[in-house]
Amino acid sequence: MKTTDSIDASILELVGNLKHEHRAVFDAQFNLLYSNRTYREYLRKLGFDSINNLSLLDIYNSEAKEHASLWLDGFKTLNPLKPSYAFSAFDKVREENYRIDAEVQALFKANQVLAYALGFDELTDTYLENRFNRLKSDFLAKALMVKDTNELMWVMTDEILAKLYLGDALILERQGNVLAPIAAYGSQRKGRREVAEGLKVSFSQGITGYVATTAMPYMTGDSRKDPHYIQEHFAAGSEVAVPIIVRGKVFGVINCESEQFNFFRPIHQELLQRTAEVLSARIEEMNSRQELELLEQRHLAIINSTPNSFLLFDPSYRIMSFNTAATKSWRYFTGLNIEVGTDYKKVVPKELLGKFENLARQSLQGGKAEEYLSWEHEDNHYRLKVNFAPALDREGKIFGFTLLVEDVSELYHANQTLRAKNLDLEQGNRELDKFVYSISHDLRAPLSSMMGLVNLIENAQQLPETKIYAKMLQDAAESMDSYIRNILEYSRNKRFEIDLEEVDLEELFRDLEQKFKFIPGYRELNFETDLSLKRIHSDPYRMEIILNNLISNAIKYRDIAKSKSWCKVSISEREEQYEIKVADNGIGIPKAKQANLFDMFFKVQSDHPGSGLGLYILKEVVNNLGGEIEVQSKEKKGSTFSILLPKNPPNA
Amino acid sequence: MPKVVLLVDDNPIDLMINEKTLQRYDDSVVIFKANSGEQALEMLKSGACNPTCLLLDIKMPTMNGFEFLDALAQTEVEVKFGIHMLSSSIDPSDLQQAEEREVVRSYIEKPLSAAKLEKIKL
Repeated sequence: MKTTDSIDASILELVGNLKHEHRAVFDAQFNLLYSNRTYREYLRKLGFDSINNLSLLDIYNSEAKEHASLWLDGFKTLNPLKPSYAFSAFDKVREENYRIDAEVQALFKANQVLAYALGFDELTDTYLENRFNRLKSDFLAKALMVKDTNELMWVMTDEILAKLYLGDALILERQGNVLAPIAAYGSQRKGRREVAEGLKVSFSQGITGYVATTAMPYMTGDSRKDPHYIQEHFAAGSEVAVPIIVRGKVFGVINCESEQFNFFRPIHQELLQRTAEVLSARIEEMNSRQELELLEQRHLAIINSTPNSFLLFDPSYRIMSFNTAATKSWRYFTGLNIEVGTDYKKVVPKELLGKFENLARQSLQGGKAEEYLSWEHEDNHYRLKVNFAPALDREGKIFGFTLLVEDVSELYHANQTLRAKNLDLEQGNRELDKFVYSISHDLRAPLSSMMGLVNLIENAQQLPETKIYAKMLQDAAESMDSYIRNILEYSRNKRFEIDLEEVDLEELFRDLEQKFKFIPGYRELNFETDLSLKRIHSDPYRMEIILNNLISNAIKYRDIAKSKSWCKVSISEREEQYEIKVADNGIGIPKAKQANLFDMFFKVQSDHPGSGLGLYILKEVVNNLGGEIEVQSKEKKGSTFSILLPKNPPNA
Repeated sequence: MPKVVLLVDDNPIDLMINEKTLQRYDDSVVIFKANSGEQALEMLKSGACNPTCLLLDIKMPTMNGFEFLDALAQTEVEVKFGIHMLSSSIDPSDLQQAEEREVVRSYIEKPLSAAKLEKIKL
């Protein structure tokens, strides 16, 4: 064996490049420099028991001439620009054809060959099967990433069909009544992911059609003689086709053809069938995954369409899942963010932890619970309806629990409003009853007096007597009039919205004076105002009722025994309030009567023609404006009414 | 025996109307007036007034007509006189209450008139 140190490293490199089972290196004169064990065994089969000083030319000059010429022809094709060449061929060993997959390489130095290398695999059934198994696992690993069946076909083509020495391969998919090529290897491939056009065949045509209709594999060694053959994708030769069956139906066909006759052996059909099975399993898996995703998508669409929050917790109270509404609502309700995997203690407000644990425990034991919570967060008052229920799997086993939170605040507040309105209405009705009763008395009282007086006048003998009756008639009429006015005031205060505006006090008093002028006794009264404000922000109509009531009372109940009657009105402001004071030196109110002073129809002096509504209305108006009223009075000394009104009435 | 009528009414105009109407109907009638139930009770208890007939208003402050009847029953005053309610109320509940009282002989709607006095056979 001739060896030189200078090519030792190169030999290693050449051998390292060759992935084949049989490997050998020759020098430029084709002397064998190196051979691995499997190639030495191969050479033994060719009749070369010793490799000492063996040259490829020795083999060429032997019975195994064909084997040597395979390599010599291969070496001839090599040059510095193309230092390697792969090919498939038949090798003849003892009159028997072996199909091999081979590669030759050459090592050049300054355009001179330093060494040649060869490597080849015998494509035996066992080899092909082993190879298929390896390729299959590679394919399955890659197929995991593939989302779409079309792409899957190409991956299958590249990872298995292209590497099984099958000649030209084509995958056809059944599309209605035709078989359309969707992936190819070899002559029918036009681009990275493109098949030659115009290749659709009818579902029942040719060998592929036959396979598709019968759902059985088919193989022919010479398609020219085959009854099913028609010129489809390849020129005549040998052909093998297997169906791809997905869920009991023909999904498509894998078709391989070779120009060589009798190229395919049973192992090819077998491996193609197994390839079709791998493909079909994968397609089924993808379909069910797609269906599952679709199902999940539909469920999510339902669960996400509700404004209610759905949360799923595992048995250790960690969040497993939730809908989109939950993300938002939870933040509104608690200011906390929910995330999958979060512990309940991080998302349930402290005040509710006990309740949560209790209800969660119940639902993990199969119980359902519904509760209403009053909940406050950042000045928002929520009324929440919460439902706890066990989460069951297909077998009915509890794997957690669900929490449904429904914001019923609006409903609740609407209900509250309705209830308040109802109460209001009930009170209104009671008041109405009281009014009807009161009208039957108080409105009819002056009326019956008037009727009685008319009777008297009718039968009166003298004018002076008649005049007295007429005066009384007038009083009764006035009393009735003021009663009716009061009722109107009362109802207006009750029904009209508070309407705040700037009230010019001087103007208001000028208007009031016009009214007081007609009240008997006004001229005998010394009326004073002390206004530290020019204007106030209030409801002008109600301000007028307040002042009108108090001042006209001061006039009506002045003490005629006193030489000088007076009434002082002062209006001032405090920080958040206005203060109105009306003081007089009138007849005053007996202590015993002060407690009921503001009651409906209450009169201090029963013989006074008033309606008993004035102060009741005053109190109602002050209440309406959110204010307070207080009276200090001493019989025969006088009275002082103090009213405090907030600058910003709560009802406004 | 002279007819003595006690008028109980808080409204001075009505009191006057009733008085004048009575006088015109029968000028021999002796008339007493009280402007509250309390005052009437006092007059009866003290014997200042021994009426043969009592005309009683219903709606009066502090003590209304029916309360007056209750209070009267508590006293030792023997009710030998006829009691008639005299009211402007046309409320059925007042009428019903009046009917339920045994001492009340009739219910007269104001204003008082000769015809109405005729009816009760004063």
